[in-house]
Amino acid sequence: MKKTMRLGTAMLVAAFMAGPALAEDLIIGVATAPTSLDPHYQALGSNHELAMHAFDTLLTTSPQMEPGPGLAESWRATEDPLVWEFKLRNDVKFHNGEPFTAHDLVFSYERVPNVPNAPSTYKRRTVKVDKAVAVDDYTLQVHTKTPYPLLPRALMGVPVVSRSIGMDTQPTEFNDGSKTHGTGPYKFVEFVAGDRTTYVANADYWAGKPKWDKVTIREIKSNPARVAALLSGDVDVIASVPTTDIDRLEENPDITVSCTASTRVLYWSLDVHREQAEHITAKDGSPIKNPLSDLRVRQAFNLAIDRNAIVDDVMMGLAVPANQIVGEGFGGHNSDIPMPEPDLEKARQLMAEAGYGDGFRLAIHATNNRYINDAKLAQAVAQMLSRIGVEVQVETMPVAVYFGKARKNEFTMAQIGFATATGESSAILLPALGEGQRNNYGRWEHGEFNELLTGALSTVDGETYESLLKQATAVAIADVPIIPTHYQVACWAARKGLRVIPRADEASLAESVVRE
Amino acid sequence: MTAEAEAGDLPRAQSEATGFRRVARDYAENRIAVAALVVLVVIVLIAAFAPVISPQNPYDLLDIDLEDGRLLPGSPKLSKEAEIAVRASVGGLGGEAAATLDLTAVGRSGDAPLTALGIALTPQPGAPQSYALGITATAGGPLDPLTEVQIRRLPRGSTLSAGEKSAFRNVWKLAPADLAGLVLTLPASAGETFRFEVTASGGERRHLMTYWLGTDDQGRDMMSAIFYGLRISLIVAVTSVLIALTIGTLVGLYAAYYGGRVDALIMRLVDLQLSFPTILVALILLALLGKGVFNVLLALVIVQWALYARVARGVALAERNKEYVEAAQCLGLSSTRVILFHILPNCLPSLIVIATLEVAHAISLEATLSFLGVGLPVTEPSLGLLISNGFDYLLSGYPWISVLPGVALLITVTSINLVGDELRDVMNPRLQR
Repeated sequence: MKKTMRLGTAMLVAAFMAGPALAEDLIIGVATAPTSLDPHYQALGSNHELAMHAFDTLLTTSPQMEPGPGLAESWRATEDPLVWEFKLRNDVKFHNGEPFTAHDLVFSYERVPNVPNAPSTYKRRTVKVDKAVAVDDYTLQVHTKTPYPLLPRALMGVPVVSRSIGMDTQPTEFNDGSKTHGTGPYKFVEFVAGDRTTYVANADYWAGKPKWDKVTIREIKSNPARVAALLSGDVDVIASVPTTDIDRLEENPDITVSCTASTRVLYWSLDVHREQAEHITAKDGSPIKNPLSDLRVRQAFNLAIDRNAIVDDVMMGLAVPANQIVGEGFGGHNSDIPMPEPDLEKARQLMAEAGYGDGFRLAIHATNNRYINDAKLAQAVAQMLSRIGVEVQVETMPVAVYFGKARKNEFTMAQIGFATATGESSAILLPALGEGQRNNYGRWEHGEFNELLTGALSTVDGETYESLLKQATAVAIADVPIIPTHYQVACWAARKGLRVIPRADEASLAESVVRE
Repeated sequence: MTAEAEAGDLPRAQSEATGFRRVARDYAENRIAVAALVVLVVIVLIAAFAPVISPQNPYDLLDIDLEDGRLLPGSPKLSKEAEIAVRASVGGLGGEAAATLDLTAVGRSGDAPLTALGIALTPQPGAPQSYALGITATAGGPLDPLTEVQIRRLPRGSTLSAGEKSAFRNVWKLAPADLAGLVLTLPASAGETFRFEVTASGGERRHLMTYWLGTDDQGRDMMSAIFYGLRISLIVAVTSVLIALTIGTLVGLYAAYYGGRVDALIMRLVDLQLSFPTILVALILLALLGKGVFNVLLALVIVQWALYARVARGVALAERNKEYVEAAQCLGLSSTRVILFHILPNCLPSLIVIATLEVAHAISLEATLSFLGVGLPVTEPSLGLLISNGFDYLLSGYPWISVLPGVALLITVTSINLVGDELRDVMNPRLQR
């Protein structure tokens, strides 16, 4: 009965919202709500994709995560390995008419670490920046603390705001539009929390007239309701197409589905640090030494998890099996690492060798509203681990509760999804496995890995950098501090006549929707 | 008649035996209610004996298989894929192995030859023409015993110490037991080198059970899951109602008996509690307490007790001023004794009716909470969680995952409501015909 209620509400909302879509109007249905319209408030996919309508970045990000000219026409590393220089466009104006200059960039990078009450900002992208200097109105020099080869990639994801808003602007002031003037292709009109955000085209956009006159981004959390909204014509495009519905939508001649492997890897983080893991006991409930601190147990887990079954049966084919942090085609991918073949016999043998032949009791944790099929994935992995004698309990919770607990290292085996914003592996390797890092939920520490990674992050030579990253990845994966299972595949579905150019960063942008 | 005449002087209006008989008789007049009662009894029996009658234990992760996910109702459960390892070696009798090869192959057993491997060997001139053939073949998993091993393409005229040669083809068939101590004797005409192939196959994929109601996304048998879900839902609902009934009734009775400030205080508390929507209170409680059967129970008790307190007080207020209560007080009985042994029995009929109806309400509430993801753990689904799990698949061509537990919930709640309604009618003296 609850089910019909939810469906009913969705339909009711859809009925109110509908209104026939005009030719030049675009309505996108997305699954996740933004936490704020302040582009610097939280580095969250749902915030960033909205920000990318009203704001620009120094460099643009291609669908495959390559940097390209944006507000900066060209950029180069100067003779000084600590200084980068960016030549800016001189024909860019903010939505309120102010001209855009290098001083706005300086202001934006200063504001990033200083946003009031921000939970997680874009700080990680600017942390290596010592200072940004406006040489003249259209030349920006960025000084880094150490040689930093990734600077262009790091800055390509940071939205640029006008310096006229002032440093004491509160994030909430963006939600009513008073500070939401950027240089982006669309002008902000309205934000209705939990419902929609509306934009109109910025006719003076420096890269030419935007593709759509009016863009509405609607938040439709429920998967079936989002699909129903597309089928009924209430929205033109939906993001996060549920895996369960892909087949049916692809067969539908009125719908175009487009997908790409995303940069998001899903992995299980293992607590290798604690003497006694919080969620592991012997089968009779008595406390035991943390089995996950034993490499053989971690290897056994790795062999027990059948990635093909996860991809085929849980993700219904819409995922790519993963054996490391980034997939093929992204920087730092090490193709010498073999894909672990599920081998229960060997896994059981490893468990027995480690002294856990009889298994133990383990509670694993996962979100239930963040990643595609997250709760289902946890249950599947529980099933697989039970095959090697581990008695698994699955606990799932909403993302709002989950990451608070994860950061306090409260989980023993936790499902994590991590997307690289820079399109290469160090953006995940460092925060997820670096010593003392906040997102290193299993508190794994490895001297050689840290050395290799630090080495990679302080060289400006592309080849050395790539080879050090590959080595670091190999060292990490061999010690199994995490068990990657798959890369997500991001899918969009559009009504007939439209097509979405899929982006590896999973962002749903109006400018990525093209007419066919 | 005599019994009633005698009972007339007692505080209780009727003796229990005749009361029960009258209730049963009146109840039986309504055929729909009788049918509902039968359905309810069946449901309770199913819930009580779920572990015995379910073909599968849906909470045992070892018992369910991802590969069987989203099967249509009526699909068979077949034994799992087998993994077969074959290892072969050839050596002189008593000598060392001259060649060894092993190969592991994975495939659905029962499909034609699983694996073939060849060994090329050069017989030593003048060496004995008999070889020890060491072949081991093992099938992974107890469900698929290895049924047959075949050896092909031995030099013509060769003999094996065990097994059976096909009449026409150069194929030896061996039972797994034949493999021990196998000796190969080559004919004198054998060439300088020879090779052969070994294939092994497992039994047919055995039909283990039928998923009469299909399976959910994790490969759980829906019928078993619904049986177990009913069990959890009923246990949680009945237990919470009983606890809430006890607490609420006692509070209500004491409030009615003492009146005054105690009454005012308790009843304002009850008003306060009843002014919040139950689902909201339960959601907040569970968000604070976390998931789990005990916490769901606790939340349900907290949202329900006030209702019983109010009903109990209402009924008890009417009884409070009756003569039998005064009589009991005059006898110098303690307040507790008057409340529990004199007033309470006369309030019970109304409370029983309310409690019956509230069981249905508690089941729906628990289902709602589980549907919203704050109730029971995902690996031990109740009815609400089953409906919620299937909700994603409702429009994807797998409607049974959500609809079937929904139907089970509907039947359960409806039958309890019908029974409760009829109980109210027959127990209400004003409706006596």
